[in-house]
Amino acid sequence: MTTRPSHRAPLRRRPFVLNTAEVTVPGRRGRLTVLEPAKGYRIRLHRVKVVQPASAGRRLCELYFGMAGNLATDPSRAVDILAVPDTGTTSTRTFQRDQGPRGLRGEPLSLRWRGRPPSGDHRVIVEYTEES
Amino acid sequence: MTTRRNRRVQPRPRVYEPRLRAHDSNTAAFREPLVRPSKGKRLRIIRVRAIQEEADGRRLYEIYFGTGQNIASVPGKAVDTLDIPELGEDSTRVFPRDEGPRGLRDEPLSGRWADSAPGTSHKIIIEYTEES
Repeated sequence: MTTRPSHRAPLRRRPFVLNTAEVTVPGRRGRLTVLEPAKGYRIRLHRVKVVQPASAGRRLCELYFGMAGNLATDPSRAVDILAVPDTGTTSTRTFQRDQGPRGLRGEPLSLRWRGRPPSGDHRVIVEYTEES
Repeated sequence: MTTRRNRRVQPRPRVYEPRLRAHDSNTAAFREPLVRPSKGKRLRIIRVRAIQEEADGRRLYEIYFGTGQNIASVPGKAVDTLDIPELGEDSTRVFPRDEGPRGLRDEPLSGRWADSAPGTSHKIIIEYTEES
């Protein structure tokens, strides 16, 4: 009798292509679309950074997947709530490869200002990958 | 009867050779090339750091691939926007091996002052690898 070595099909790892998008977000009430995935793909987040270029006071912004009016409508789609300091920058934590929050197919990443929206534009830098 | 061993071709890991380049920034709101890859190679970013040596106020510095006028004009080529405090420094996050943003073949890494340019030169330190 012979011992046959176990045959394990090697798992092909998903190719890693980090995308970064810089989006200017206005100070406006309601939901704002930050990023939409390519058709048939899903967004997997690595980090989201928000920069306040000109003084507009400390602001809180909700980040979530989907088209809901705010984060409380569908808490399961939440990504984070960021406190942007006056003339400052903040970011989510950096998620490891294949471990960040992931949207559904075709689901956009949304942002909403909590309370009174700021008077000026903010820069949002999104590091993400697209998955099928 | 003979037992044939499962032969799997092992991929040869890419040689890892981090490089560093120190660049003196311009003082104009125009794009400047930070690093150009060797002919036929691609840049993979590990980290970019900016230091303000003399008091010059808070400044934002856009980093992106290609020769676009600014970060917003080349969607999909963004790397990050650094928020440099007065007499301070800022950097991108440190990207793990083979997970940083990567340019196309022969595509330079560019930088540009957002909004208003400073009056003094800043030190920009780029850590990167070159890939074929």
